[in-house]
Amino acid sequence: MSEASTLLPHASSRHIQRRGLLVLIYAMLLVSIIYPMLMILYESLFNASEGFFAHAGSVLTDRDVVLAIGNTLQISVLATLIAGSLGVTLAWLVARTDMPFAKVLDPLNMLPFYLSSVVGALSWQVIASPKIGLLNKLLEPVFGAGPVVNIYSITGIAFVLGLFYAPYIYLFTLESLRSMDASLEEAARMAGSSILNTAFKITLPLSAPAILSSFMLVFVTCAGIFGVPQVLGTPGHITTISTIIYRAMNDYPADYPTAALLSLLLFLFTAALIVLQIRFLKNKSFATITGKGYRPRPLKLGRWRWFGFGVNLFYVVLIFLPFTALCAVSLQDAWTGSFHWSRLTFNNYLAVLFVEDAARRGFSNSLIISSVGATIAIAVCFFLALIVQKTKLPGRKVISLISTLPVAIPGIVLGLGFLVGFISTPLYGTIWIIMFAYIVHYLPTGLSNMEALVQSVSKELDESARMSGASWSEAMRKIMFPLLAPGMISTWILLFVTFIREVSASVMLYTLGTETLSIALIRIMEYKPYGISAAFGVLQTLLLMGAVILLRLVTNRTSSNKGAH
Amino acid sequence: MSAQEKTSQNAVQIKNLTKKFGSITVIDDISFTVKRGDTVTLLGPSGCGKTTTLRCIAGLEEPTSGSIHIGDTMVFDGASRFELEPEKRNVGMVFQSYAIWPHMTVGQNVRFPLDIKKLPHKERRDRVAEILKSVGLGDYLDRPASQLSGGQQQRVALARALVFEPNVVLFDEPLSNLDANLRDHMRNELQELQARIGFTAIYVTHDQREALSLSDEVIVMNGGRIDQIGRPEEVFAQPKTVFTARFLGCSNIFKGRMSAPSDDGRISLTVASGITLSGQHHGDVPPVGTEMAVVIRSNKIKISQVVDHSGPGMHMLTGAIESKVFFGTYIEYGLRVGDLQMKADCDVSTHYDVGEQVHVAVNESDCLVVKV
Repeated sequence: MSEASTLLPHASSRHIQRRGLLVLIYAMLLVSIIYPMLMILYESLFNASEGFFAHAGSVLTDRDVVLAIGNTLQISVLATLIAGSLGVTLAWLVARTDMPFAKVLDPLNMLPFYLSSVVGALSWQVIASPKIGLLNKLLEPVFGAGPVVNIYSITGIAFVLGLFYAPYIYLFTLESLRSMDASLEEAARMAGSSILNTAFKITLPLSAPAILSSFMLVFVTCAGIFGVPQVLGTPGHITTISTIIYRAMNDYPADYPTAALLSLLLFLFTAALIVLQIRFLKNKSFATITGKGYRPRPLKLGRWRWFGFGVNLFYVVLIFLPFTALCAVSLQDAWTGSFHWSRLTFNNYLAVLFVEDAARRGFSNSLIISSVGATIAIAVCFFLALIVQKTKLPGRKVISLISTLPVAIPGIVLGLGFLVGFISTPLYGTIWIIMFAYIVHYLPTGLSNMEALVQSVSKELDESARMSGASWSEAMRKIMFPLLAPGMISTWILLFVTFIREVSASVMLYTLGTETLSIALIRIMEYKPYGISAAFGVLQTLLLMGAVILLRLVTNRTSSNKGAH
Repeated sequence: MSAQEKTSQNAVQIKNLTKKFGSITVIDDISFTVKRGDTVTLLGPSGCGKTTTLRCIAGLEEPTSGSIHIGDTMVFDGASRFELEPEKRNVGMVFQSYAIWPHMTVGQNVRFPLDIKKLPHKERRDRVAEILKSVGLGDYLDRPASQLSGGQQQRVALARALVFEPNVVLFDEPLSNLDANLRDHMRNELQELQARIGFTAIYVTHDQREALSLSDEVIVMNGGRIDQIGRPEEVFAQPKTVFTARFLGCSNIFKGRMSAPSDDGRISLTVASGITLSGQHHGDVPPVGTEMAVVIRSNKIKISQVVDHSGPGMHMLTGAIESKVFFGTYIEYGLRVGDLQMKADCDVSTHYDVGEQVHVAVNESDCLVVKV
């Protein structure tokens, strides 16, 4: 029997071991994904004292809930439109035109992908809060008193989300454009079509499937996100579904059935959209990739190239300027709306690092959770990827399907599921339950990366090592591991970064003493002077930037390795 | 002939065109003219600069220097850094990958250039119907383009390039993605269509059969330069260089130093110790002692067991059979003649064994003396 690949020792030969392995995997997926979701269902169906229908009726007709649903939809639509127009435009400029400095702007456009949108929200307060916002102060002489821009609004929340999710759409569009056969566009030029007409008639429609699926991803993410709406919505009393779920759980006593019902609603909504997207993509994807790798000549924008540069630079400024302002705020003992050298101080940083217990705990908890969690996630995902890609085990399709399920579960919903499911176990109240939730939430990301990695290494490389006389473990150590290591390291860093800034699941699962970095930041924002939160936000950003630089070093080295082959 | 008449006859005129990618020169100072209504082929191996030349004419690549005229319009001039955008050159192009837009129907693909020109709707419909009919896709108007076979895509690409009556149609190895049978078929169709509609075409290929059968003029390119320009018969029968000879299928190439030319214009070369071959030379006679080469097509070399081809103007040699390969319509024998190795294509009725001693005869008129 040669059913399993040589990557798995003995798995092919021993039937019983194989059965045991499958049972173990199913049990793992059942406990970590299916069980928490079933607990939410149970909680909403059976635990309301007045019965499910009466409860559901009263919740769904509650003015606050209806309002929150409306806000959530408005925010998600607006944020998707902002992220979409930015992401698509910038990707086209970078991939297809002779915009100056495109090579420099490309990584800068991607940067927010790795940063925390909560810190983004924090720093946009400095710019556009109604009372002390720099922009409002600047515009006061022009428009008179009263705020011109207000970040504590639906538009404000959507704006910050749009800025931070633009890189997702940027990335998808860029990949689609770069893999597209350039002669499809050149044929349009030869037929007499101008640059802009070609972009709208040929380029955009052809990459529409990729672009639309990234739109859907951003829309779903924004519908379930907690951090930014919490930070920017609280001052202006703007609620979303996720913030009212949080509020239901923070009431005393906590209203489990209501939180569970709303979570279920949110989950069904996102899941429906994702199913819709998969359906849509099935019929609509065009094979536009060609074998002949003719480097498309960048479109000449003429004098418009500097306009394109200006557009892209504007985006970079929208990311960096508020952060610069945040740095300025963090270095002042009290923020008065402008920077004074006389007020320069490092006390805020000292306070974050040495005085504020919550902040210090946030750092140490998040570092432990993120590094251990990323390691476990890589191990689990690699193992699952081997099973799915390299064996013919029955049921591997089911494993793959269940493992991608968390894509459709918003973080706050998963957090609630874990809370309800594991509150009576010793896991509750530790940092490990938070780590557990992170791993499950990002299982699809890790798994797809690992599957791509495992696929990229051909089975014959391993087999030829075996034929050359290497044992299974020698082949693993000397051939497979060196080939796989760079991809594993870059995925590890990606997960580490994602875990460091995670908010939505953590907010359901943290207890006093197990605050994560982002939770500590949100808590400190609620009751501490602004300078301290600013310093905290700056430190978190520096940590994330450090990880990004590391990531670029690793990926650059691998791509130059690949180039040498 | 006045200057104006001269230009109006030319569909494309290229002068001193050079294209560099960084420090690599891909096109090295080439000039040629394409007459209105002609089909000109750029023939050469990959990397010879033929596709880049085509893309420079299209405007998809920016030349480093030189000039390009399409009809009477200057579309590129290196000296004044003038460049006309590709969409304003009124040039049709058939891409190697066909570049059929998969999100449109066949009709929408072909109508696209007319939509851009904003022609009256009736005219658009009529012209699309007409051109689709002439490429044999009359019933395919509303068929999604993503459901076409390779040959059908090829026809749509052709229709799209012809429908707006461009000054010139550029073909970038259009048949190379088709299988052998379909390729022959499409080549014939292309020929018929050209004869019927009479468009001007520049055709890029590395296939000598395509080049010879389709063109009024063949331009053989090598390393970014033009090796030879001429009518297909001329280039095939009288290659001027070893490169062109080899690229057009001459497999016997023997280098040697030239001795003094004879009275009848023949040149003799000593190609190996004791073997001197003489043959036709076209063009200027180089000085005595120059290294040249004799090229002979393998079907012109005759083998026999007894001397039966002798006569005036025949080279008579003796050698041994070294190899024998059966190719269906002929047998290719490998010969050892002194220090030379030769190839001879013979009738399938011949039966020589490896090791057998044979007489080898070549007519002097089948020997060409060319530049190395």
